[in-house]
Amino acid sequence: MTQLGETTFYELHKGMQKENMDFLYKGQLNTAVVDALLGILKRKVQDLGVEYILAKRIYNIAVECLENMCQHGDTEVEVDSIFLIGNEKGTFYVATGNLVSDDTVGKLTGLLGKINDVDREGLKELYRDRLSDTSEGLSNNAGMGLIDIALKANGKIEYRFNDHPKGKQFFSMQVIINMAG
Amino acid sequence: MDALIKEPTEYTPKVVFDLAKGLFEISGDSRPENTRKFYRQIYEWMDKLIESWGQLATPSVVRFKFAFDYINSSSNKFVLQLLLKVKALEQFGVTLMIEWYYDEPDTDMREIGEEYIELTGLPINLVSLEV
Repeated sequence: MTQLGETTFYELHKGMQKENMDFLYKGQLNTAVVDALLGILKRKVQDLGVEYILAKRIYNIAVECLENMCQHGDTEVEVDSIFLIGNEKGTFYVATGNLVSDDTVGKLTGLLGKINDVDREGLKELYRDRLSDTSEGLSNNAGMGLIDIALKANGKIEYRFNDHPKGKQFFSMQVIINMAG
Repeated sequence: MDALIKEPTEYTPKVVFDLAKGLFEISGDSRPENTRKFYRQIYEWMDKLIESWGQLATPSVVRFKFAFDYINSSSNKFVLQLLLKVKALEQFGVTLMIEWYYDEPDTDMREIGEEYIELTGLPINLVSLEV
């Protein structure tokens, strides 16, 4: 183990402050961890000093993001996931990164393409279709979480896949929460 | 008919469905780990109520109160189905009074209520609470 450098950790902390990172988690994700994180986040968003509806939307998006990561994430290979809430001059964003299987890449690309392709009314329609669709049982809520994220953020979902040395794809996603309009 | 009482947890709502007391309330956060499992018990209770309605001492007006603080997208779908089970009581000539509570600034929660009105055709009363 290397020795604690004189400024290393302090620089990391300063960097995080400078980038306005409000909440950052890096580690394994499972339902127990998600529950713990959301327990902390529920209080954290209230301490951000932002208006009620923004705090609620940040929490809402966080729930759907973390649940999605648990659902789509590849847990066979132990690679840490990452989850971040930050802001740039008061405009909040939520970003996630996790390993996914090749099958999931196709599904996510199709779904995210569809979500980013429609306007707000189109998104509401997509959501409503899935809400009332019971054809494959109620547990088939494919994509509802992602559609909800786009609706609550009132914007597009940026995403990217990168090759990962473990042979899978690393999926990064970010939404900026747009409160105007 | 026995009442259905579920105490709330950090991620599941409080449920009180009590025919004898005329109480039908669900409140709190809904993001269960297993949404299907959580709502199945409520569905079964509702199905039993519908099946045995004719043999029970039942009121002519039934008031349902939905007061979620937070509801995730998968619960959204299950609550819609629950509302459709509530709607089934209309066949007995019951007057339904359904209230959907939301914190006044929570326009998203209000929108969910509006969506349910549109999808179920039920006379849901949207009630805003001051925060």
